[in-house]
Amino acid sequence: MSVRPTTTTDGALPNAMDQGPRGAPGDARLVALVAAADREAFRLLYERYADRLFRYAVLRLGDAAAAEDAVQETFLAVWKDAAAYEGRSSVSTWLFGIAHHKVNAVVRGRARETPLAGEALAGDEPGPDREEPSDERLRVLAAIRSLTEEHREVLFLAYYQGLGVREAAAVCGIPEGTVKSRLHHARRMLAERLGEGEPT
Amino acid sequence: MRPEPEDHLERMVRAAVQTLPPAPEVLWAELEGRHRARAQTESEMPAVAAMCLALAASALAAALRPGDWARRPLDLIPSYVRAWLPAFRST
Repeated sequence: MSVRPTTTTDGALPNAMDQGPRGAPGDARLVALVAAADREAFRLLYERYADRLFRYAVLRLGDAAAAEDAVQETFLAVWKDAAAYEGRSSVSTWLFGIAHHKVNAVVRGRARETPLAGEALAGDEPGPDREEPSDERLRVLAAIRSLTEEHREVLFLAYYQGLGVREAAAVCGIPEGTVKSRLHHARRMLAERLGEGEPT
Repeated sequence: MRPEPEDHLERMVRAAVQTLPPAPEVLWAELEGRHRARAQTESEMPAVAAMCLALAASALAAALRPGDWARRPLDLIPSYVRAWLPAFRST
């Protein structure tokens, strides 16, 4: 199947020449294959994004079981609606946009926000893509946990996923100014709680 | 365009988030299981739809008999057919 060039209108570069790691298909190519019901492409896309989407969901929900459900729902939506991807944003932005809505559905279904659970942060065994949580990192996680769910989300998207303001705004469905404002407040609160100097 | 140049706080956040657990290994297996179940349900839809139409037609024909006018048409559809209705709405 031929896939259109993967330029995006949000300024993101989805994948130079649409090549993945070690010559594997790039993200946009994988989504096109998934739209043609290619199960191997679906598995590759899952392997490429499952960990990041899971961490995003865990950070927002504070509940590993709910995060698993949200990630499953995200990928089921990808399998069903991959043809809807038009290449106007990077695949990463598109995927996190779907995950944003799936996590929102979980949040709406709750009577109140569940605190970010310790067990969700502790996890089981360290995986190949997981670093050991030092005391310093646990302290930072605790500070992140104390933020609101909205502030945790923009911190994750900007600092961990590396999205720009425009992409983060597209994922969350909010104006770019709101992303900047949330990021600014999140930084200030985080710096206060960590005792780090933060210019006002 | 990045919101701000990478700084100490950003590096701290990234390092901390990196310690969160990755997706559990069972997640893919569960996802495949749910995908197969949904695919099976959807493949059965045409046959179930034909059965529902036949039963609905039969129920409506029954509703046209004198004496049945007071009954609500949905009550005439067997419960096991009504149980499929949410599945149709979600596809």
